[in-house]
Amino acid sequence: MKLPGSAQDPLWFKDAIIYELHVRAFFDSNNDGIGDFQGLTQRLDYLQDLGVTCLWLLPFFPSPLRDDGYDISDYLNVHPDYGTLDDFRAFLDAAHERKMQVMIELVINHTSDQHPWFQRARLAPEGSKEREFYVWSNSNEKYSQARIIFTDTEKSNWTWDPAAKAYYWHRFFSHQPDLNFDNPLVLEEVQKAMNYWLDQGVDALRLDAIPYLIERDGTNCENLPDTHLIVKEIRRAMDENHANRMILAEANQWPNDVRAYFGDGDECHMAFHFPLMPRIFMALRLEDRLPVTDIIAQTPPIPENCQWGIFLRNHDELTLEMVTDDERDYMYLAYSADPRMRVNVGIRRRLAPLMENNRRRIELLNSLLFSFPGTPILYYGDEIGMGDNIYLGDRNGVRTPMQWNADRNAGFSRAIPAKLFNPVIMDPIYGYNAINVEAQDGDPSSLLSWMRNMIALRKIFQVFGRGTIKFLNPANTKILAYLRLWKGEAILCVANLSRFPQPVALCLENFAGAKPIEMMGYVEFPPIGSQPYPLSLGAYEFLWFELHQSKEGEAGTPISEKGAKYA
Amino acid sequence: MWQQVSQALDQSVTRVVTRIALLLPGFVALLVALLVSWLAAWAVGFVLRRFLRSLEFDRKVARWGLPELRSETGRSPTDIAVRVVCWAIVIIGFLVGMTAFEATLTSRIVSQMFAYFPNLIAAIFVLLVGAAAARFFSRSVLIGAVNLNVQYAHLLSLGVKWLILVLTGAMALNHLEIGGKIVDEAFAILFGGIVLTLALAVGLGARDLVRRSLERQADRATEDVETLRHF
Amino acid sequence: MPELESFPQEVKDQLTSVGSADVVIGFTSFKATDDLSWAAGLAQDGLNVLIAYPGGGDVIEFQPIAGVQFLHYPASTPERYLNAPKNIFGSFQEVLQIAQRLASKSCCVWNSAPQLASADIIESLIKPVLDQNFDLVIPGYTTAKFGALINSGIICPLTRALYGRRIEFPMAVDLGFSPQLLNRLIQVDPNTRVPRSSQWITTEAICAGMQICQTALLMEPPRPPDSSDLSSILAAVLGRIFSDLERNAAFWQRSKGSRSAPAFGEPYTKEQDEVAVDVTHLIETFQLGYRNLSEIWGLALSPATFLELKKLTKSSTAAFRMGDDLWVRIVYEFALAHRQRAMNRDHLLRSMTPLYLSWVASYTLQMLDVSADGFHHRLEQLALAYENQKPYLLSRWRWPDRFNP
Repeated sequence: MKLPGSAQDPLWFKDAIIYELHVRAFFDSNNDGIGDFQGLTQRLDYLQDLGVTCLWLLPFFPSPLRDDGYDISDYLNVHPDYGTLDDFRAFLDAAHERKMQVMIELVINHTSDQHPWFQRARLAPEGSKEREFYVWSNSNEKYSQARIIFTDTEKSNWTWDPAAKAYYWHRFFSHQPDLNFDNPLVLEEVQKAMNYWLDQGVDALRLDAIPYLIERDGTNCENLPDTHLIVKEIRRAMDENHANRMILAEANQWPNDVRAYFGDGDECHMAFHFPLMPRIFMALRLEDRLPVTDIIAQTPPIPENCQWGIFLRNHDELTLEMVTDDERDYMYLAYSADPRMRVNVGIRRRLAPLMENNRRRIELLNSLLFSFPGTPILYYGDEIGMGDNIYLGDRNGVRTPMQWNADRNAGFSRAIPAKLFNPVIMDPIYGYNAINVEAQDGDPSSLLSWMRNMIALRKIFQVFGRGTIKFLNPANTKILAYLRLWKGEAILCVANLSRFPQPVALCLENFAGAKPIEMMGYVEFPPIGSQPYPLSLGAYEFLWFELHQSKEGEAGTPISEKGAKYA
Repeated sequence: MWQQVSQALDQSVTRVVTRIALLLPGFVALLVALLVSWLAAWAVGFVLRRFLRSLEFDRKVARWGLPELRSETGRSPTDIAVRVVCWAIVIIGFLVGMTAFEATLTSRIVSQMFAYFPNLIAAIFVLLVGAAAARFFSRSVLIGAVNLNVQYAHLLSLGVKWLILVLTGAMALNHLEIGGKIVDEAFAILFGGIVLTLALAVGLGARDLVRRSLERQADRATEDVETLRHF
Repeated sequence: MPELESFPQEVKDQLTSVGSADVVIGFTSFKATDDLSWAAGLAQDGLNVLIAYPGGGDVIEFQPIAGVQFLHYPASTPERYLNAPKNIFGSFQEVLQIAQRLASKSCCVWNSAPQLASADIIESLIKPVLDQNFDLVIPGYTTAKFGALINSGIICPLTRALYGRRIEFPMAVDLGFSPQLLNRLIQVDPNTRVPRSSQWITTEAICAGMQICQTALLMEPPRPPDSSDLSSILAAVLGRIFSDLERNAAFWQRSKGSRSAPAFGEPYTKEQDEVAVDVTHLIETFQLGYRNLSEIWGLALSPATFLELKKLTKSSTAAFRMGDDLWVRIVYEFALAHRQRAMNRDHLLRSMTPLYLSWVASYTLQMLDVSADGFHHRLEQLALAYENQKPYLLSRWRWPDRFNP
């Protein structure tokens, strides 16, 4: 039986606030030290209060868990540590009741080497359809131009399999062989898996690592034209049978290369804007808006029915693949003085430690996240300013249990601490005694309360999710100022990237006569004239203004920029 | 027969109960000693922390050349000092309680422990000083060697650091009376090995240094070639 | 340091019998063979001159000179007058105390080698005090484009930018004092509990609002003893400058711009056109420093500065150029790290040696074909860079935060 998703609007994702979480890290209901679906269901009220509208679940499928679940050994089930299929369905229903959408992973580039397909393929005769589920070669010289992604652990994209007596191809860990999409049966199976979950009512799928689906000799094996044919087919199959669903592409590429994954509105609905994210951090540290304005200027327009996904941090390292060498060196120096903080080509720290727990910086970056064009994606724990543990291996330092209260195990589980899947954060600054939901819940000055308010404010104005962006370029480069415009609404956002107060004069002559209303306190500012509009901003301060044209006898009405074009 | 069985049982129960009754006061005394020592530790810690803060102890430690203490341990020097004192009080309370618990057996153990205590303190002190000295001197050597353009600066610095650490470790083990001759011989081997390595490194690395020094002296003798003057 | 009261009785008796002197000239090192006959020239204008020299052995019998008296005083370290390593900043306390005791109208302390002194030179150090009421007379030694590099690269432009005075040699060791200044210098600084005379004299005078002038001397800046290594000298100089910044923070943070100190005489710049300098060794030291001292530099330098250094390590010798802004930021960031006690201060300052040498290499390559005029213009550019970056130092001084560009 096919169940519908919970969204009515085909473009629901444009107005969404996405919350990324790992089932096993969120809440443990059966006290085995591992979070589960029943626990997650119990905490849906918290998420509803927070105001997020879409939950993105990291992989929860059966897996040997050598890559935190991204090595899948069964696409059609739930890992027993997290519960059962019924638990999942109960969670999905509960989320839908609260008008929340649910997005799950569809990891189609590779499987675990424990997946039955691979176990079958390695023993199958060469050339057989079972064998051809994966990419094999007698030598490891093929596709030599493809880069290695997990540089810390892998020396090659080929690994010898003694049972198959051949090399198999893997863009990630050696225990994650890549599926062979040149074999039509692979796409069939992938679509079966996709339909299975969409039929349950899942609202969205995140396609993990899709630039790497197809390999061709003489190329770098990324973003090849045939990859897009696969994606188009997946999209077509989805649209045919399931309304109002969404596909989010994980393509860690330059904006022009990511643009291709939207197709003509017939591939992915959304894609992460990877290059923007490190540049936000860079701009903050350099106290200069140029890295941000530069990358947005390089970002091509996308189809009307598509959307960028923007984020500050996620479950992976803060990736520095899509920056120049100098920018990468700067980011390492600025944000990861200790080499232990680095993994692969990135920095494995959470938002709060990256900001050195400075509340103003955290708020400033979140204000950018909520006001830049795109759908914001929050990482679990960042709403309370959780810390990390750089001494845990791989990227596990940013995947520690959610901190609910100051009780044992941060209230995440009643199990003995040694059984937890990862230890809780315990240091005096970020530890669960200091940072937890319970403490912040009742405190109107807490970061959690602030996040709730900001999310609520953002949801009132569709312009943030659907509008265009136009940068103002004041002489003071420490100020990032931009207009968000959509259907008569105009929002002016001004952010001070510096740790010291800054003056700015903004050229807003196109809005002459309009009255800026500061949005948090609904405070009227002096009207805009023909001269540059002066403002002073405190350290890391940001201001959002509605621009209202007020005529005599009329309540303030939204205005349009003279001559501007809208979405 | 049953009478004898019940008699035997009675006797053994009486013995056990008597034994427990004899031990009970000691056990209660142990708990009291622990509780009192814990309270004393808390009170002393509170007072000591305020005292050290009023003395600006952390700043003074930094001025003595140990600003890395906080970054190494994650705790301020005040924290470390307070914790050491508090735990010492708790341990003393525990030992007092143990003595009260079982006077004959444990008092022997306790007196041995008390006799050993100064050695333990000395060993800890030696380790702390040695670790700080190793870091300090290795850094001094590194900077000095780099400024003299010695290519093996890093190796020299590492050698000095391990030299001091090995020495410190051997001294600490000696204080703790652990290992005996084996430690002495192992130390001699390690120490000698490090010294030999350093000698080779210095010997090889210093060739350039000596050559440059001689060249510099020769240059000074030549009057028509000016050199840079820094001061 | 021996106080006047602790002088031997015969010295105190001699001071009593002298009573007063118009001019006191104090040598801080002296040998029996040093010739002082030129002193006669000083007394010709009717001045009553006393020459004090450090003693420790027999009293030297000088040829009598009309109007000139001689006094030997106990040095704080007997070796000082035996060509032993000297304090590179000079030492003044005993001479100042003698001058104060004798109520002199002008005092000159000579820390350089006695054989370099002459009547003209000493006169140029005391006349501005006697005739024009200056409080501190600083010599303007002979300059050269490859001479006194620490002064050119750090001391002079930093004094200008932070203390607002354009002085060629702010750390000169042969100085002329007025009674007002020497009274102040003899006092103990309540913040540091040492006599002010053992601190940086020039900034003491500037912060006290004293009148300062410069006088051109036709002699090269005094060299430190041969046994001193560059790293020690640099650490000592930087230590003094940075400690002074802490002490005088209230003054330099509020001074704006810079003005010249009045100058007397014609300054002389030595031509150094025929110079062959090999900077390869300097660049190698810098690269070695980058490879080995990055952990230490990382405690002082901001990420942006560090990145610039990384790029510099990849430059070829011919193209090796360190921009003025980068060099100034390095100096200021080390000053900040010194203040914040990011690590042991001696280690911190010594670790700056390879960075200084990289500046020297870059500067040398730029100056090889430059004339004397070009040299002054170059120093002016550097000084302006120090002034322009002062707001950077100020902002980071007032708001210490590791989250810097």
